[in-house]
Amino acid sequence: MAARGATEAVGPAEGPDEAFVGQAAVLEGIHKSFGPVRALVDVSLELKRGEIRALVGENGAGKTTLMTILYGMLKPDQGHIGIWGRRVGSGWSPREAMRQGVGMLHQHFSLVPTHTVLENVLLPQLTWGALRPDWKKHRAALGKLCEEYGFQLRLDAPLRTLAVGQQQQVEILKLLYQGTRLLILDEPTSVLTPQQIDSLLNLLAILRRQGHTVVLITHKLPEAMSVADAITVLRGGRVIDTVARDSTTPEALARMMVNRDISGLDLEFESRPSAEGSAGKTVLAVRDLVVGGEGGRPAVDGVSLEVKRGEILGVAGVAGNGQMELAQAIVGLSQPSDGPVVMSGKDITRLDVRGRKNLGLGFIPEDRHEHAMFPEMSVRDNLTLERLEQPPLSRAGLVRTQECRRAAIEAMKEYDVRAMGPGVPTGTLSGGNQQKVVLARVLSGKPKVIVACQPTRGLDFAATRYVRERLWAASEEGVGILLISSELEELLTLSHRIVVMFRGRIVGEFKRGSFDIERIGLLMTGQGRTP
Amino acid sequence: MTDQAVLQFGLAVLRAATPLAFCALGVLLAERAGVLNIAVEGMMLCGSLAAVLTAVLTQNAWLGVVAAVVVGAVTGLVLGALVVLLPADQVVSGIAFNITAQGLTSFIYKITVIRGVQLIGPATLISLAGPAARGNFLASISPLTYVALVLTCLAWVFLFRTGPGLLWRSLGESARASHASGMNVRRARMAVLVLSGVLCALGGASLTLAWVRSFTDNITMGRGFIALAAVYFGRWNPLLAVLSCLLFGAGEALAFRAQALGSGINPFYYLMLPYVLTLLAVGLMGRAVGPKEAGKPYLGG
Amino acid sequence: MKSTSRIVRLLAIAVVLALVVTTGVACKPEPQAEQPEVKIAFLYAIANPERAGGWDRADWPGIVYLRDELGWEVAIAENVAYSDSWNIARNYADNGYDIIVFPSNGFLDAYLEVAPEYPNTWFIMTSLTDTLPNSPRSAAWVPDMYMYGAVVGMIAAKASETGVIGVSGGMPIPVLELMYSGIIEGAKYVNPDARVIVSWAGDWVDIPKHREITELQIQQGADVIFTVTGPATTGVFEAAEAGGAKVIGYAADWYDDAPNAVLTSLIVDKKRMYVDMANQFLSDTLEKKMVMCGAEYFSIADFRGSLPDDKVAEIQDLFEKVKAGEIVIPVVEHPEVGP
Repeated sequence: MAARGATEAVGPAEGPDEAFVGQAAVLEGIHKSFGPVRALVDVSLELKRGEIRALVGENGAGKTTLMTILYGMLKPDQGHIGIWGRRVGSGWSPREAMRQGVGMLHQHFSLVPTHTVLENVLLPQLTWGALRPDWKKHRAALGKLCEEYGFQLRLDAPLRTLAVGQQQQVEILKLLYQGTRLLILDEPTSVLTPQQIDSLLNLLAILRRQGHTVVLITHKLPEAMSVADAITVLRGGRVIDTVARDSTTPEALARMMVNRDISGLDLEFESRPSAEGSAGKTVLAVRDLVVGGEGGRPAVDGVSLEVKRGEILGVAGVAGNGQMELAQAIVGLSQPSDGPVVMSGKDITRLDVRGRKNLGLGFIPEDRHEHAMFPEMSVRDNLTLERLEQPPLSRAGLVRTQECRRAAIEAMKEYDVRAMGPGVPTGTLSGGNQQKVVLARVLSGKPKVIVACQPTRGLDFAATRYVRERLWAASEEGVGILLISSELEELLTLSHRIVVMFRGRIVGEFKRGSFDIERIGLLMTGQGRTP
Repeated sequence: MTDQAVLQFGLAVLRAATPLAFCALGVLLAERAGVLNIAVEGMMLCGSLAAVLTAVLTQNAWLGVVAAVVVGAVTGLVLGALVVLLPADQVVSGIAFNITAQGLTSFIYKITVIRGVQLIGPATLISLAGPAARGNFLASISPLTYVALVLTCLAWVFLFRTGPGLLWRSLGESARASHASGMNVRRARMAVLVLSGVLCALGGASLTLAWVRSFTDNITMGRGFIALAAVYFGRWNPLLAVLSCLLFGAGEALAFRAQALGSGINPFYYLMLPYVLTLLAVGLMGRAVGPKEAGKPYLGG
Repeated sequence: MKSTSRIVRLLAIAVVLALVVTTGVACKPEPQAEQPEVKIAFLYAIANPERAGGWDRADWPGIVYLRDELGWEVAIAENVAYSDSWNIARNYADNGYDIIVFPSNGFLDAYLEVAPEYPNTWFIMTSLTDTLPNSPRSAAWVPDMYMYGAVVGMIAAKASETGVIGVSGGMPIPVLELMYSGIIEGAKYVNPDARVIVSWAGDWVDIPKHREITELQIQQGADVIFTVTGPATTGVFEAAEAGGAKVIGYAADWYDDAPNAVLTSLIVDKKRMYVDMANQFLSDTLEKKMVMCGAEYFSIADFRGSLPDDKVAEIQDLFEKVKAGEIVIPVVEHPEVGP
């Protein structure tokens, strides 16, 4: 399907091309559409050998699409690709790209969780014909490579036992072992702790020293500024500019990304007062909460916390340290094995999800598609689902479609949900608009407490900002919010207080005004615990 | 029990287990590559009919086996077209395949066999040495049983001790990772299903050629599904899966013997034995985690 | 791309459905060319009754007679689930069938309940029953299954060298329990030391199960086998052929099915029942009645050299005496043949 017309598009002939000499990779006049959506419009890009290039832009700007074209996973509708000074032919595919030393680290790892590190790294080298690969030779070579790059990996460990950061190292190791010299990393830091991010950025520097070319796709400007030699900004499928790192500022880049002045965004939040002084009564509390986990070790191990009226309590931590289990126990998706959940003085431990919701507990789940909404159902249905039984949406037990439609349109207007209409399937909306639908539904229930899990994950600049502002506004109206996020920046921006979770326990607490990023980062990884 | 009775019991177990073993291998290899092969029952039926018809026409049982292999490959291609190329839901396609196979085999049987119930000719596949083997256990076993046992060991070595075996298991654990490492997931799964179809059809052939030498509508009577359960019980390990097939075979053989011994218990309790075992197997292994991708279509390349 | 794949998917489903439907349609009997006067319908629980081993197959000569010699329109419903038999019978009656035949005892309830709804249609049972429906147009030809069993038992005991007779069945239904009691008594009449092993497979169609049961009986010494089951009979043949035992065919001549394994068959002349019924129907003398069919409806098939001539003569002699009423086997029920 994607191969249609590829022969004409990619080039008349493969072979050396003067225009491409001296460059690691060249993309020339790339166009790509998905149906009516023009993902890339006449994009040209040159990558120098041995440089680190950051590709920045909002979600949907076309960064990843562009790079998957370079990697051969997608065929451009128009345009040429050159690698190492040679124009590539119509047979350009990931396999061919890998053969020529182009490798891509995807946001979702392409690893087999049940295989060992060694097996995972070797996977691309195996063929159906070779019955007995030379494991010994590979093992020795890999050991050497690990040493070279400072990877602390046990080659026989099953992959699923590894932390996310290590899994990423396995993925990079796999690419390097295949002889990758042009490495494309797609949002590599979104899953990492601050320390892991540092070591990844260090690794990139090592790679550059060894002559590798690196493309870093990111929407985090500080990362781009700290390691890249040059930064290319994409917006709406077009290249806005490529600038040398030394001749730009984060503010200038951000302006290019969103085409409007966003400086001061974070300052607005900074200047907001801490809720501590005006703290009212406690609206949500758990005491010594224990939630069972896999393998006998509890996922939540004796957590106590309180959320006051109008307060945003941030929960920091690397994903998988019990935050989600904590949230599920609070909203009623799972039963804690010990410890009460108390809302405004009332023990709600025995209530089910609906019972808690009726008491005013709102929930923004981490995974929009799994728990927050029905992607196949229309925006209208998703917005009105929970209130369907109440008037005016229904009468005598029958749903009044027109009322629902009106309510949905109203909510869409109020929460800035941009969709063709209330009838379109919610799953077809952009991530930001989907999250606005969720937000609208939760807030329209007039909750007293909101448990928000990763509310801005995967959202672009504008949507992120919108969601944060709504949450902040809710807290100012007196809603207590438990905000669980692995984006430290988000917690720092919004929270009145931050607690850090590690292995199911709370290992530190910080008040607004005394947030210590270094220490929070250390605590998240289990170091620097207060004795 | 006398020696003779023990020997006969052993043979009965092997007879009952051989068709299950072939099918279990077929299902297991497919699931290890990420395709749920519910169609095992239908493939088995197709294989058993092809084997019988060819053996009757040519008066050669081995040609019947060859026919089952060919037909099995075709069934694999058909299922592959449905669940790999389209890709349609694997469970629904499997069930549809089974229903179609049952109707089709009954129909073909009806129009091709002129004389009524009849046995196919030479019984060369029932035991290795034919009637001369009486009393000699090893010589009384069907050559197809030996084939099944050898294939089981080969499957284990292949899956867990070779490079391609690792690729195969990767397909079942992460199609994305397999694709990313340069594999053509769809082509590989098509090939896997062809092999799976061949094995399931061989299971059918061993039922009709090496056990009862005849065919009737729906002769497999759910044995393919028992093989499916054996794969779960055997935790997707060929050796364990075939071991559980032997267990089910033993259950079936034991049921009749217990009835013959006349222990005073209603014989229908014994007749339930293989099915109760199946239920227990699935129940006990309820939490067994199989290949992650089994049942999921791959929409990528 | 998404929508095309959906279309392809729909097409695939349509193809599958079409296959299933055509398979079903192809199984239906072809309609007769000429316009027949009388329409008659038969209900069978199994597929291919003309080929399956057992009671239903014995109907075939009768059906051929009605269809080819009398030119009646014969409809045959195969694979009728017992639960569907009510509606299928009603359907035939609604469509103007003159006679509806229930050749199996399993349809008894439907026979008794549907007949009164259609007083103008004849409802005929050609199997075991002790009551007739509350309808003027109902009749039954009831074979004496106990006597049938007794004759089988005599033949088996005469033919057996070990004195052990293997008897198997699909499900322990009352007809079979009665018949098997007759086998025990008949065998004992010939050879007081004869032992009859009765086993039940639990279903009528699982060939491998029946094969294993028969093999087990042979291992226990049985050298003459009798079985009443459905399509699974081939399993019995296979085991008998492999184990050197001989099978007595039930109701129809089974010789062609397994020439090496069949001793003889005790044929039930069901054609005679249908001929009688047809003649009476045509001459308007058919009336509400129950016809008891005893040994005069039975015949022993050619042994085709499976037994020495003197033994065959002894068996024929015994059978003649039974028919003449010189030998009477008193009815003794053996509950132990049941499960």
